[in-house]
Formats: sequence, structure tokens, C-alpha cells
Amino acid sequence: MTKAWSPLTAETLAEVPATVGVFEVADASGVIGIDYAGGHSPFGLRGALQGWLDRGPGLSFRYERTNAYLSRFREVVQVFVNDTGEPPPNLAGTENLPTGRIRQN
Amino acid sequence: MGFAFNDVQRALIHNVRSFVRNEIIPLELELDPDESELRPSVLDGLRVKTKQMGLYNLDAPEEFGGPGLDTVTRTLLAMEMSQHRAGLYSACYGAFGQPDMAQLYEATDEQKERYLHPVLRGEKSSFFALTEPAGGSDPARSIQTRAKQDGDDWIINGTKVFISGADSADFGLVFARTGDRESGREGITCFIVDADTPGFTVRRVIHTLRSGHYPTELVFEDVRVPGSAVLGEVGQGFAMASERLTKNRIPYAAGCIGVAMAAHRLAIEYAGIRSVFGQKLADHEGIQWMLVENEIDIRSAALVTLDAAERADSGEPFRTEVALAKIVATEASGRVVDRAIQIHGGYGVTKDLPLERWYRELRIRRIGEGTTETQKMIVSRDLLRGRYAGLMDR
Repeated sequence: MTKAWSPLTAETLAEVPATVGVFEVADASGVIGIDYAGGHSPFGLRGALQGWLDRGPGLSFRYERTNAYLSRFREVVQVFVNDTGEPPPNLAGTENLPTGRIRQN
Repeated sequence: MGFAFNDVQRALIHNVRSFVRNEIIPLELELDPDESELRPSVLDGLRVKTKQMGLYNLDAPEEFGGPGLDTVTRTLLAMEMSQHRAGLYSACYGAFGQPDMAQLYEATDEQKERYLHPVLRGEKSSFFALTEPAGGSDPARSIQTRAKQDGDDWIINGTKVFISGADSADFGLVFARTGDRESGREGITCFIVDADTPGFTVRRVIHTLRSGHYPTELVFEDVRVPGSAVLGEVGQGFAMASERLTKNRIPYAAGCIGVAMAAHRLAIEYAGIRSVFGQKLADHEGIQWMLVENEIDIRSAALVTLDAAERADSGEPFRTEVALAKIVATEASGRVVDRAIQIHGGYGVTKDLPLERWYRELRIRRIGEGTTETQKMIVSRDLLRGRYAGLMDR
């Protein structure tokens, strides 16, 4: 994902569409979450990111709205794992972690 | 042609239908509507049940532990297995085993030990890499991936596109040109390539109308494989791929028909409960005719596809029949789902129902495994060259 990061606040969240898509969340240490808003996500990306905002301040985010949210999610996670050698913290140790070897270069 | 199903076929249909309704559809209530995968622990539980049913590794011959089904029975089951939301590209989420890699049954004993048996045990998975950026419908001419011999080894260079499962597979069957540029179909060889071989990269997901099940783009940069990685004979890869593609088109067509049946059933139910302008939808002639057209499409497609299956079982050439089945089933099923959406109105295009997913995925079926136009070329060639005299003269 190459879009610019935005601070995660109530104001910026209000601009996020309530559609399906993929997003990343970061804190000062780097990316801490990669996830998607799918067909069952209430209020789409906005609703999914609200859950992260509720955890507290200091986070930033970026997103892509895409109908291919599952395949894009799995691609972004696999590239992240290949680049960093470890899964994003929100998926570590879960059965939801996509496994694979996609790397862009 | 005669399609009186025997008792065994009826029992198998009943078992698979019950499995789909009792095990698969309830699971989908909790899944994202585009999902094509189950958590490993859930899938393992389902596979225990299909093994108990004697239907795990559905496509495997009996000597390899499979049920050894004939093509007609396999086709009937494919029509049942696809009747759920993810059923078109992920029939029962793989609970009946992985996609068949029939070529591996012809492998050497060493290759079988290393690849086939682990696949049959569910320990390894594979991908099938034929299509390239230059095209997929005419692989004999479009394959530009090259394999050059270097001592006992081969060095593979090239790019493959629209390859499913390569990001998580353990190995793949990779088709590369070993002859010169003019060698056509005689110059293509199949190699078994381990996914951890240096130089092999899954470069990206190719995002499509589907979301849960996705193709990828592969790059081979000086990928070195031993001579023992050749599957079959050097220069005979095209024949191997062609045989696989032809036979696979029968369950491929049948899966489309299963989805059409499920969509048709939803449309009939909805027409009976939804009222507009003071009448049930089912009382409007426009809706009645759509339902009849669906019935015509489904029956035609099922009969043509079962005919192809019966022909395949007969030992006679069946390429023409399979091409016809692929055309009729994919095109007719697309029309059925389209009408079912129309009958449902706005709800038909929501993710609350499986119809919109089937609509998107069926559009791909008219292209995958050889486009409608390629299938028409196959049929017309056989007709014009006198290899096929027509239905009544078979």
C-alpha cells in the first residue's frame, strides 16, 4: 500500500467512506494492524477504523477502497510478512493470518 | 443417451447434497460473503467427514485411494457440490480434496513419492502454470517461458499470469518451451518446480471480479531444476496440459449448472412470497416466463454436460462434446443467475444474497478453461474437417 498516512481522529474518520476495502494502522513503532472491511462490516471502512480509534489516540491509518478486498488484504499481508519477516501484530498467532510468499520485487 | 441414475449415484447425490446443506451453508452465515477459504481447523473437521463418506480425493483413481468415480457420477456430484455461495471456485471449500493434478498419476515413482502422495494426504498443495502474458487460449504458440538444458539441469526463465494458488503452494507444474520458437506444441515440456526454488517469485495478486479466490503473476529468473523435475517426456508437455484441460471442463461446466440450480431455486421461492402491484411476483407473466427460460437453460446445459461425461466414459473421442458442454453450461448459467437477480430486484445485487457473487464469478467462467470462442473453434474444426458428423451419426 503506497498511500499517504493520516492521523486517526474523529475528524479524519468522518471522511472515510463506509465501503468495503483494505486498511493499515500504525503507531510510533510502525504498522500494528492490517485488516479489511468486508461484506459484513457495519459501515465498511469507517466502521472498522472506528474500532481502532476507540483504542485511544496516537494512531495513523491509510486505506484503499476496493471490491477485491479479500485478495488485496491477503496480498498486502503477504508482502508485509516478506518485507519484515513477521506478521502484523493484529494477526500474529491467529488463524486469520494469510500465508504465502508474494513479494513485489 | 440415457440418464436414468443408478442407486449408487442417487445415494451419492443424496450424501453430497446433505453435506452441502448441513455442513457448508450454515458455515457461510458466519463468513465474509466473498470468502473462499475456511480456517484450517474447520477444514480439517470437514475432511474427516468426507473421508468417512468415502469421498475424499474425489478425482483420484481407486489405486491411489480415491473412490474411482466414473465421469458421469463425478459430474453429478460437481452439480451438487457447487450449490452454495462459494461453490463455483471453492466447492465445499476443498473438503472433498484438492483440485486434481491428473498429470502426477503419470509421474515417475520418485516423483509420486515426493509430490503425488503428499498431495493426496493433504500435506502439500500445488499450482498449474500454463498461461502467459502472451495468451492462454493458444498455449502452443503463446508460451515464451524457456527452459534451457545446462548439464543435467534445466534453467527456466519467463513469466506466468492468472495462476491460482501459487502463493501458498508447495510446488507447481510449470510449462516451458524447450524447443525452438517454431516448435509449436512439440516444443513444450512440463517441469515440477518446488516453490522454494531460488529465482521463483510470486510477484503480485491479479485482482479480478473475484475477491476470495485470486490468481497471481509468477516470475522465473534463472530457476534451476534437476533433470528429474521433468514430468513425462521432454516435448510432450502440451499433450499433457491439453488432456487435463479437456477433461477438467466437464466438472467445470457442471459446477456452473449447480450454481444455476441454486439461483433458480432462490428465484422460485422469492417469486412465491414477494408481492408487487397487488399480486405475488409468481402471478406476473413476465416473471413466469423468466422462470421457464431458466428451466430451459438448466435442463439443456445439464443434458449437454452429462452427454459429454457419458462420452468421456465411453472411451470414444469427447473433445467436441466437452467444448459444447463448456459453452452451453457457462453461458446458460450466466443467464439463469442474471434472471434470478432481476426477479429479486434490488436485493439481488446485495451481499445479503449469494446471487451477486455468482453473477460476477460466472462471468469469469465464460473465459476460464478456454473462452467460449475457443470452444467454438474446436467444435467448428471438428465439424469442418469431418471428424465429427453430428449428434445423430455418432
